[in-house]
Amino acid sequence: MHQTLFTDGSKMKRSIRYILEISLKLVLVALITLTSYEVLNRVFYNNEVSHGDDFKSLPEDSIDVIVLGSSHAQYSFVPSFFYEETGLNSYVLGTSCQPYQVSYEMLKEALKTQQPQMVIMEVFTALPLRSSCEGDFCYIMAEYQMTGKEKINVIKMLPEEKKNQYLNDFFTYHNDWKTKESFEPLNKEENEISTGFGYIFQHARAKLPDNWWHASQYGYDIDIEIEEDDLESLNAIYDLCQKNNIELLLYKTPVDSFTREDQSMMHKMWEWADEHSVKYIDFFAESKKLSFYMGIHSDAFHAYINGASMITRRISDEVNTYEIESYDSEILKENYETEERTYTYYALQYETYPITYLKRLENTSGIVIVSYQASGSQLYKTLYNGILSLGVDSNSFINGSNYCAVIDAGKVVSEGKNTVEVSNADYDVSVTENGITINGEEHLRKTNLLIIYYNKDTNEIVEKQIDQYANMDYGREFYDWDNDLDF
Amino acid sequence: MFIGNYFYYELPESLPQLTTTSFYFVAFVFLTFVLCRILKCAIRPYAILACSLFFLYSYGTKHIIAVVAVAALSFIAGLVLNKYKKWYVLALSLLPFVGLLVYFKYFNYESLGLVFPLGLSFYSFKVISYLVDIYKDEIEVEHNPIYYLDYVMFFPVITAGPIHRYENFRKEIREYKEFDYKDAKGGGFQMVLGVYEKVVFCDFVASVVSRCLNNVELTGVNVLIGIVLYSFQIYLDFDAISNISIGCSRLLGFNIEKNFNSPYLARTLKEFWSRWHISLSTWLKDYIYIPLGGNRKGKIRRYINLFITFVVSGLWHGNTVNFLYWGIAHALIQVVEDMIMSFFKDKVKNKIATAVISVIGVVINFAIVTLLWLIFKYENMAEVSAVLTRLSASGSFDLEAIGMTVNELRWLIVVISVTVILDVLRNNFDMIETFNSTFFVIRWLVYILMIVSFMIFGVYGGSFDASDFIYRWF
Repeated sequence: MHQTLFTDGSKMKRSIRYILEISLKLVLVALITLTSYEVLNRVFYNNEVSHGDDFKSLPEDSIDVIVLGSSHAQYSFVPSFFYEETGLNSYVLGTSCQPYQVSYEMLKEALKTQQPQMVIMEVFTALPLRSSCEGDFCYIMAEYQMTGKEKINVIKMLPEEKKNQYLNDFFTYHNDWKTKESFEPLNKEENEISTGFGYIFQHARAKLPDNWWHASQYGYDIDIEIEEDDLESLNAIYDLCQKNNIELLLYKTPVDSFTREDQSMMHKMWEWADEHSVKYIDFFAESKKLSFYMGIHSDAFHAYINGASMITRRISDEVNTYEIESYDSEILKENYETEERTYTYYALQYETYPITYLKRLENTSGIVIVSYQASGSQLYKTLYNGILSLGVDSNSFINGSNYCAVIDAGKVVSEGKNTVEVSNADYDVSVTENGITINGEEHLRKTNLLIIYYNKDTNEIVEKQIDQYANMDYGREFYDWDNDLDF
Repeated sequence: MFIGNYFYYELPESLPQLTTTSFYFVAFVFLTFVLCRILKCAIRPYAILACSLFFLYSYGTKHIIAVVAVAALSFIAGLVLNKYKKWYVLALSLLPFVGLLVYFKYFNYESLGLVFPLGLSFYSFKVISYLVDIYKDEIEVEHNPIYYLDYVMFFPVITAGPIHRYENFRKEIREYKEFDYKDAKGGGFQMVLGVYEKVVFCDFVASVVSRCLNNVELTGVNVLIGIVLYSFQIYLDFDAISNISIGCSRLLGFNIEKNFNSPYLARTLKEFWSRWHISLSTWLKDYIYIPLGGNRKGKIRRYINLFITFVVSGLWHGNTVNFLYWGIAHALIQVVEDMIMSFFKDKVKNKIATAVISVIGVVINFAIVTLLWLIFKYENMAEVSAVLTRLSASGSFDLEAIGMTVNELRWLIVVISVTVILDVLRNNFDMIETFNSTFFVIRWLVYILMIVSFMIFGVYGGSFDASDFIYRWF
């Protein structure tokens, strides 16, 4: 009789039947688990961090130009301005501190649904300064904007303990049940005040100091190389563009290239571009020619709306020298014309230009609530003056001290160092060290500057802006604050 | 879209430890199960041995060396003992294993670059029982080294017991009964139940315990809550790993006796020990208490035997002085309890009075066990005394001071209530068998409820801070 390792015929059949039955049940359990995850995640823990601007919701083959890069790209390239100048549709796939490796994966992801004719890449994250980048926003974007192998590749760049979190954010957020007051569908950030302005270094000086060193004057004397990972990704992006017949253009925004290392690194980037016959626009070098001034057109990190206009229009001029025919997507055209869904535009218009915001509030008939927690240093002079222009007395509000106030139609009705309380027939407002309550609705009070505009007639908060970096000392490494630019 | 992400989950670069609550362990058990089902009866012991070796390998090769050495030595000792059944041969046979246990428990093995062998306390008790049983002619000696290695290294029970005996295992490894679907289903469910018990119930209770007891500013009721909850934590923890071990064994075709039988429903400490860690209690009874004379040589000897047995139990649990005190306390209280029970014996005949006394007994016994767990938890009496001082100070219930939210309190009440209700039900009938024979719609609704509650309330993920099983490294 033939000997086998396996159990005999009828027993084997029965065993296999049972194993199949158990396997099917396990598959069923796995499907229930995954479905439960989807339902729970969407109903209870839905994080809307990037849902509003979903790249994947765009029509296929509708984007002519894809912009890659960091927040510098987000704040310097405005698709609607670009459309005005070139008639081309564009989309910024940029996130805070986005490394080149992530840009490469983002491009691969984009090519699944789009066939762009040009890639414009902003190159800030090659700078040594990027080590100061905090947060992992691009990985949160990956959670929503990316799929498949590309997403996994991005997640693999994370430290071990964070990988699971981004593969499956339920791993982190499922513990929210401990603090949830009801199991109603709830946006995680609902009661928090958005981070508003972003990075604001309004003190940025208008002209460079006398001892300012610039590579174009003194040469590139620092021996520095593009990081191996960055170079590899840059080459991969180049190869991918070549393979797909996509033009590549690099640019560096006119901010944040302050050190010799930075300048030398940007020179290396220029060398790389030259070697590969790729156009590279260094706005830092061109800033004088363009009359682009920090403090007027940008803060220390990001361009304001007027600066972004200059940069986008300069890039547009360059793109117009290429022969690119637009896909002419009606949906996108409508978006640009109505300026809806163009996140960058809103970000620039409302988030990066606090002076505009404060000026708009000057003549309002609504309630303005000001909360400022000094944390030991002074508020930028421009912001301080902007707040005074709301009707606050400079004797009461001393720069460098905590202050909060409720301003009704340009008149301060109550003010104090840490707490104020106003209660009348129209509204009840209280500011404590922990939070701000407006007609019973609580809001977290984050540190530094927070300004809320509340319409008492409609009983709604029209706008709320926070600047967590209002008195951050970071920029002092680079600027002489005494020569403050006063608006 | 999201579901697709799972299929890209990559295997780790190095072999992960097959911890019993991990996904890898569940997958490993399923593969072992399939292997056991499709292989011929004669091949299965080799497959089980390979799986056990693989399991230990995931913890490190040093653990394999230790267990193989113990198994090989005890296998040879068994053969010799079978031939020369003399007391000194037995003593000589037992010496290396007792010595090994004492060395690793009480001496600084780390200075020699050694690690504590995984499951040493459990498998050394297994080999001791095997040798003593051969000496007493209660079992046949094993001539097949593979079968014997399977017994010593059997992976479902190696890390934290139960301490199963060779007699049953010998039959099952040879005959390997026909596949029983009902049995496998019961085993699988018991295993899942154990994981659920650990990740959803036990680790949550553990987090509350640490908040109550670690915060030195908390006093009174807040400390009392921590102490009581520690009783639940240690029970849920050990019951969970026992369920996983027994369930996994059943899935592979091996029946291992239950290790817990609603222990907190015991009316006396003596009864408690017949319901708690049953495999250890019976081992101590069979190999320490009875050989010392048990209760056959008068009351005084009985008390001395009890004392010695519980001292051994305390020493087995750990090397701190508190484990010794814990064992002694259990023995002394049982002596007092025995005296009181002898006094009241046959004096209460009314059924209602008996029931009332039983309930009071359960409450008092739970209080005693709970207080004694405090000695078990801490390394020295100074720490115990500090907790008791905080307990005796006034302090009303303060949710905020404990660091709990209202939702956590609600969930805690659910966890404790479900534990108590299930324990009462388990005391009266076989819960798993009953559950498995209920209407499938109800069963699947329970499965879904378990999955959803696991996902929401389980202690895992980004904030994962689940403690290891308390008994794993004993």
